Amino acid sequence: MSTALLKIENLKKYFPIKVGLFGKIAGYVKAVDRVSLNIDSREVVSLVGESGSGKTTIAKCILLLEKPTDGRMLYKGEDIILFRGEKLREYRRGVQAVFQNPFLSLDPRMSVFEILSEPVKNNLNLSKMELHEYMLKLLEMVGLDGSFLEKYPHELSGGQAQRVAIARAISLKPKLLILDEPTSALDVSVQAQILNLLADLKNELGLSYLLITHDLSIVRYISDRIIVMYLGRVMEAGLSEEIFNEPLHPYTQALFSSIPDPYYREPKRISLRGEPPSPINPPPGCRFHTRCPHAVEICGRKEPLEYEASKTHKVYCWLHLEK
Amino acid sequence: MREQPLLQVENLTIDYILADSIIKAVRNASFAIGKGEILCLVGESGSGKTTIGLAIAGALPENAVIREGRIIFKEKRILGRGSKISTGKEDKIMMIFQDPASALNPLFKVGEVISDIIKNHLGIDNSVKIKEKALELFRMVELPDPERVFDSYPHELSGGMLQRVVIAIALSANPALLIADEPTTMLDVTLQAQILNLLLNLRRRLGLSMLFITHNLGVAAEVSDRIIVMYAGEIVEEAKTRELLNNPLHPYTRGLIECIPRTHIRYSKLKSIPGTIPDLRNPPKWCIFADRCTEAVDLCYKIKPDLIEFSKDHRVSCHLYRADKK
Repeated sequence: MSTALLKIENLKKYFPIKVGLFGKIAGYVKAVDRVSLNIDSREVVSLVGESGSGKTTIAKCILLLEKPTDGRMLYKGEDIILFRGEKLREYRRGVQAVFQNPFLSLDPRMSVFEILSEPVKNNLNLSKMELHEYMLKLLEMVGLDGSFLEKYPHELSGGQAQRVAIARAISLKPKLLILDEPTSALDVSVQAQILNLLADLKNELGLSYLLITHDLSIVRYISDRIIVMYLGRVMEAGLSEEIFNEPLHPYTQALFSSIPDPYYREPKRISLRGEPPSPINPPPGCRFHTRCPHAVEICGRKEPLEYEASKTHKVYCWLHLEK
Repeated sequence: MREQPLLQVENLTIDYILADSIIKAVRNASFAIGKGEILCLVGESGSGKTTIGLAIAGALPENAVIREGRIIFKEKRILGRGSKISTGKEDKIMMIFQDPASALNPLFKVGEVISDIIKNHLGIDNSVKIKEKALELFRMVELPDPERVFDSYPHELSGGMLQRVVIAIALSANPALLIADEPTTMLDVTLQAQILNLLLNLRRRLGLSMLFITHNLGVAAEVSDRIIVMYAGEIVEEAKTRELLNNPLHPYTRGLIECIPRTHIRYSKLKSIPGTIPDLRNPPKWCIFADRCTEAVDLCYKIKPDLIEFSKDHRVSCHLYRADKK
């Protein structure tokens, strides 16, 4: 078996809650709790979940912006946490990110040329001419022309700014892009443009994506596999088609039926009661049981084990285990 | 004779004055909302939908200038020549916003805020009665544990609960019209579904009219009776909800519908509308959508199309449907 490009095993990230003058630890926010996933080369994996599900915390751990509490993260089979020096630089070149709001991730005082050239200057040895040409090539790849080099972020529309952020992310020929809600701040007509661009770039450059989103409707056509999270835990994981054709977890089903679609209405809408509980003291047993329409006694008592619907499709729910 | 609509907006034109330029945010918008009707304004950013909402609520920022138009509410002018800005008890238009957390003062308990409004709007002075009324409103918006909510600060409540609190506050003045500006955009989909249901329930129970502002056609389809599609400050199409969705006329509306990613269809490529919205400092004198339109002809770059009645209750502003072509 070939090694996965990125492999995460039992990742945990607990944030301590400090109280009082001396910072006594009163408890933990269990943002990510024992999550495993892997991303192969040229594969698109989507992490889907609502706020508080821990999807962005996973991204931050991968990008080394947060230190995991426990668990391992392997890049090409090697532990990311142990990377130092040139190895770390190589990892940072290999794994880049695009965030939700391009106006927050682009420095307002830098022109597009400066934004795009900074990582390139620091990592590649290019002459002035070569650099300029490389910038033009980058812009062309994301569907912008050379006139944008002189512009500043405030002169760009949301879609254009997101294109610049994508150009910056691919400027060092990465292997993996972490896309954290890349289209959530954009209008629908522009959202489609950006998703199409990402799909094209993936094919052209042989990229892998970890796409993080709360919106199930945008992930189908771009992802190979989908992982559904709730309150820091994985609820269901499978191939994109498996999740869309036969969602097995009640939470996934509820997510699907909550998406307002102008033309299609689920025969019977599953509406969830209440709100997601706090991740500080997540419910015992299955974390979803407090809102689950099918919950039975065992759900509140014991955490569900893994149920294999197929080799690639896994669900964590007692309903399927009890059968 | 036809019944007078609850709210009538005529030729509304609004500019924003900036330090070095003027943004023509809304141009010539006319529409009406009937009693008990939910009208959706749908459009992308910069379409002017929020500006219209703010104008009706009388809450436009200071740099906004109303160039033209009038707004008639309950047969009284509330905007335009000879209008009176009504305040206090007569004010029967309430507005709720996208971010409920920023709509509430973090230093006041939720109960204090709603008590204040009940006191001022309903003229109830007895604190026990005020609290009773507040709890009744909290129950009406299906808040769990209203007693606890009453004594909570905004930071102690979740986004979905805060939006319910804000809706309760808006209802406390017995409004005839509720303007809801993207009320579910910041919420997760499962909570969004709950809030939409709540708003529909309230309409059924209270006969509330609503101006619902959203960028999401799916949401609009779910709550509205009628939809107005706006683009770059102008109304491009208006029809009953089903009619608009099943028989969209304007190329922009059609494009917008095709852009929506749908869960039960597998795409090889998503449709998109090329280009971006025009500069509102200097909007084109011709059709506002021509630059992005795939069906534009010479005429579209010369003359601005009027909003014409294509069929009963279905208005569109596009040269493709002008009278001599019908």
